[in-house]
Order: sequence, then C-alpha cells, then structure tokens
Amino acid sequence: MSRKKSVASRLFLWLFFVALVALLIAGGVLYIEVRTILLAAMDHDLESDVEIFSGLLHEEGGELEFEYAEVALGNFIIPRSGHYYEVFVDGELFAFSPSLAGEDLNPSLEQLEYEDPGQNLRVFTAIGPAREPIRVMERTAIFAGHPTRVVVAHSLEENRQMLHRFRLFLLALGAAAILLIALAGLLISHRSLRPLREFSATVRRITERTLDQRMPSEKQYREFSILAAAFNEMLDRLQKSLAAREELLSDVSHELKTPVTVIRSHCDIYLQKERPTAEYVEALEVIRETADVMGLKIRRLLSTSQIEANLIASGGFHLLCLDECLRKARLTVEPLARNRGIVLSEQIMLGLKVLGHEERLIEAFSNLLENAVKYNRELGTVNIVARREGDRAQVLIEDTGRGIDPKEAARIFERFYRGTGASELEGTGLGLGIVKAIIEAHAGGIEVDSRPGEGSCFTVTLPLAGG
Amino acid sequence: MRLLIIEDEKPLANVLKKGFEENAFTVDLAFDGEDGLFRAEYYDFDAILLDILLPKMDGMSLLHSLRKKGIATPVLMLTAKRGMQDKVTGLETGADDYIPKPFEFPELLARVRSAIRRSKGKPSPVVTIGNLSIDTNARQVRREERDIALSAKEYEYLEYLAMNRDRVVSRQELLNHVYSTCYDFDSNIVEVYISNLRSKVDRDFATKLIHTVRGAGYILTEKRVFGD
Repeated sequence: MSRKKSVASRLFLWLFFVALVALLIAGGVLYIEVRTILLAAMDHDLESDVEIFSGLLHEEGGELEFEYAEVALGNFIIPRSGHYYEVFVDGELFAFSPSLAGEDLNPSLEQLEYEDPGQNLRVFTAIGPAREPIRVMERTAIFAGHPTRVVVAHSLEENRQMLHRFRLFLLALGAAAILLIALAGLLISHRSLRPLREFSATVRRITERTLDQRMPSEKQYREFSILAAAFNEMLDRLQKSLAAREELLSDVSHELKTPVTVIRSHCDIYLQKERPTAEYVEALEVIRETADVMGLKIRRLLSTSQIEANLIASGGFHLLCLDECLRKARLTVEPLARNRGIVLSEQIMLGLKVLGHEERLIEAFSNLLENAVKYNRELGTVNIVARREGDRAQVLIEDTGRGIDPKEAARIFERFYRGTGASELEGTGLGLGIVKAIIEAHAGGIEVDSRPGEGSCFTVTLPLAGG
Repeated sequence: MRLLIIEDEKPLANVLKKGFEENAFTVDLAFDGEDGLFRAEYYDFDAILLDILLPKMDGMSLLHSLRKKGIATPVLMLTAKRGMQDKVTGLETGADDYIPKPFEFPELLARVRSAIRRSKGKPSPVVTIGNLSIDTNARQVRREERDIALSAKEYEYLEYLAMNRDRVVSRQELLNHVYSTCYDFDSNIVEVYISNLRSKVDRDFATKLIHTVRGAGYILTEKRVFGD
C-alpha cells in the first residue's frame, strides 16, 4: 500500500475501532452482571442458611438448645468444605459447624459488602480457616430474651473459578467476534469501493479523442451519480473549450493562409523577370498592406483567446459602477465624434452596479461607441442608454449610421469578420468578436438590431451585482 | 490560353492575373461566385482557377452547377481550408486539381498548364508540328534548330493553334481564347496577327504550316490543306 491515505483502510479502521469499543463495553457489562447474579445467588443461599441455623435454635425448659439436623448440615460436616457457621448466644460461642474442624472461624472483616441495620444483617468478605476467601453473613437477634448472633460463611473459591472461566469464555468470544468483524470490515470496505473502481475505469477510458463519451449517471449508486454528473459537466466544459480551440486553430490557419498566399504570389510573380522600379514599389506596397492585415489579425486573435482564457481566471473582477464605466468609455470617443460632428447623448440610470474587469469592460463599450461614431453619417447622433431590466443591467448604443445588412448581422461577432465596406475605414478597434468575448466573460450577452439606412442598436446585458 | 480566376481576395486575384498574363495567358477575373459562374458559362476558357470560400456562391456549388450544365473546362480549386474532406468533395464534384493555399506561383502555373494540356489531349509540354516545335513551358518556338522570336500576343495565337493542331479554328474562337472580355478589339486584328505569325514562322521555309481555310478560319498542320 502506498503512503497515501486510503478511504478503504480509513473506513475499515473506524469500523474496527467502533466494533472494538462496543465489544469491550458489552463484555464488561456482561461480566459485571454475571458477577452480580452469582453473588446475589450466593447471598440468597447464605440467607437461607442463616434462617435454617436460626431455626435450629430453640428453647427447651428455659434452656436454649441447638438442634443438629443432618438434612440441613450437608457440606457443613465435611472438614474444610468451605461452608461454615457459628452461633453465639449472650456473646458466647454456642454452636459451630463440624467443618471448622476445631478452628475458630472468627472472620476478620476484609471488605464490607453491605449492611442492613433494620434486619441487623451484614455481609462481608473475609479470609476463611483454610486461608480461602469467604463471604460471610452475620445476623444478630434476640431469641427468648437472649441476644444471639448467627454467622454463616461460604467459600468464594468456586465463585471465583466460575467467574474466571466466564472471563476466559468472554475473551475467546470477543477475539472471535473481533476477527469476524475485521474480516467483514475488510470485505465491506472493499466492496463498497468497487463502484469507485468501476467509475475510475470508465473515466480512464475517456481520452481527448473520445471526449464525447459521458458517464452513465443513472446506472450509478446515488453517491456516484452526483460525481458522474459533476464529471460530465466538466467533460462538457472541456469539450467546449477544446472545440473552441480547434475552431480557433482552423480560423487562424484559414485567415493567415490567404495573406501568406498574397505575399508569396507577389514575390514569385514580381521576381519572374527584371522590372522597372515602379512595379517593385507597387508590389512591395501590396505586401506591406497585407502584412499589416496579418498583424491585425494576429493581434485580434491573441486578444480574443486571451480574453476567453484568462479574464475569469485573472480574478481582476470588482464591483463597478456602470455609469462610471460608460462615462470613461465615452471620453475615449469624444474627439472622434467632435471631428465628425456627431452628437453623443445619454440616458444613463445611476447606481447600476456590475461585477467586472474595469479596463476590459471600458474597452468593450469604447469599441461599440467607436463603431457607432465611425460608421455613422456626418452630423449623426449616438445615443447611450443604461437601464435596469429585472436582475440585469441593459446598455443600448444606438447610432444613425448606415446600418447592417441582416445577412451580415449574424456574422459580425465572429472572430475575424470584417463587414463589407469596413475595410475602407481605418480600423483601430479590435473588432466586435473581442467585444463579444469580453461581455461573455462577464456572463453577459450582446445583440444587434439594425435597419439598413436608418442605424443600428447594440444591446449589452450584464448581470447586476451588489443590490 | 484564356484563364478565369474566381477569387474574392482582390490583391491575390490581381497579382495572379499579372503573373499569368506575363506567361502568355489571357486572364478574366471574377470576385464572387455569381459573377464567376456567369463568366464560366458564357465565355470560353481553357481553365478556371476557383477559390472555395466566395461571397454570394461558394466554389463547390459553382463547380457543381458548371458540371451539371456540361461545361468541361478544367477547374483547379484553390483553398485555405484544412482537411481532406474538402479535397475529396472537390475532386468528386469534378475539379481537375486541388491546390492548397499558400502555394508557390511556379507550381500553380505548371499545374494550370498541365491541366490545359490534358484537357486538349496533348500530354507533352512540347508540341511538334513538322519541324516546328513549341515548348509551352519555356514559351520557346523553334524551327529547324532556329529560335523564332515572337511577341507575347503572337505567341498566344500560335500556342492556341498548336494546342488545336490539325483542327480548323475560327476567327471568333481565336478572339475568344486570346482576348479577355473587356478587351476592345479591331475586327482586323486576327488577320494582322496571323500575317505576322506567317512572316515569322513560315516565310523562310518551303513547307507552310499555317493555312487559311476560307470562310472557316485557320489551321496549323503539316498535312496538305485544300483551298490553299
């Protein structure tokens, strides 16, 4: 086994530990209970013996007599049998059992077990004549005007041996139980983790090539169906991001191959033969322009993929005032608007707060505003609206430009899309693909509504934060 | 040889036009699929260069409708797309060749020429008629080990006649294959060029190769021709 923590062995250890404690408690309780029962039985015997010996004392013509009865005496006759009695009258030894064989019982109190002053009774442990531990019951009474004391003792030897045997039995039983529990525990922990092993085997079968496979979540145990669902969600995200990467790669190769072909063809064709300088200049100008286009494409590409990959992970999200962001974005386009004689107007609701990356969000709005100004007609207007729509903030940027062809509207947010005619105007902005990437990284959405010839309206929705 | 280039990337289309024209081609351009299909249907071309991603109509549908109408002009597809599927689909639809971007121009030129030669049943790049040999790759014309210097246009006339050797080529057909649609020409121009060619190719030799078939056109052949 490796040194890593194992769920199975931990489960097993806990199970074992709990079972062990339960066993110990059960064993202890059982032992104490049996011991109590044994002692109670013994005390019961002692009590009946006391009754018998008290009963053997009787009055005969004003004299007290002790009547020996063979039936009652039994063990008390056999010497050192462990069963003894003594009867005292007026403080004098009046009668004693033959089993004492001349020895004085004279039990010295070792440990008082209990005392019943109402019945003048006490029970205690002492050392007997054969140096054996004995349990003694002593009862004092007044019989025919004489104070009497009956002392009966039973050896504890047998009792102790029984308890000893019971202890051994309990230990053997406990050991067997622990062994059984250990085996059962191992089996259970092993079996209970089998779905996990099956699960991981299924997971292992999923590679980057079989990413469309999913864990069968309904076939799993309840605990694992949660895991399977979580795992499937992770696979969904992974697949989506891989697909996005694949798409990106395909976009890149397509978008860069064309300008490379333009450059390569110019070189090949212009180098076919000697030419006047003017022709070389012409070719080099096309090549420079194409290289610029490539540069822009690469910049856009890096920006979008960086936004997609890093924005959320960067943790640079703060609570932002939407009106503040819009004000800053507006500042960036005011010079351009002044030059083109375009009026910027706004109806911005104050106090709208969103969670976001300030710089990126401003960049997105400023891009939209720049487009609204750039593709506007001379002396047109750009209207900025910010309002609340349920639990979302809505930002509208309306222009009076030439609008977007409905066929193009669906494509303008694509990574490399350049609208027809867009190339005539200088492009410093990073494009709507990036705006979309930024907004989506903020869990928002962007839409465009446009009437060709009348203008376009871009609607950005963002989730509200902080009330 | 007359070539149609259907390509929406204007800088590329323009430079290819220049490159092919400098190699004795007459080039027409179309920047979108619809215009491309129109030109391919209504004019005679010896080959078509076709981009796949085009505005208005993609290259694949264009090729499909072209072949459905029975137009067998050799088509070479140009594309920046990755993947084998497009290549297979293109060739299955009836493209003669498939050239991935980025390509090298000399290779493109060679493949266009080879496609034209194959379509005319002349697999060798050197056409020989009697003791006249025309190397279509080097654009070199020789007769009896003597180099004949021709102007670019004269070469185009000769090459077209050579590609259609032993067959009468009408004046209109010559005009169609040697000039692009936007060319505004004089009705006499064919006679002028043929007469120039005769003086350079035939005058110093006993055997005449360029013949006029009255009311029909011209023929380049070493066989005897009636009406000469």
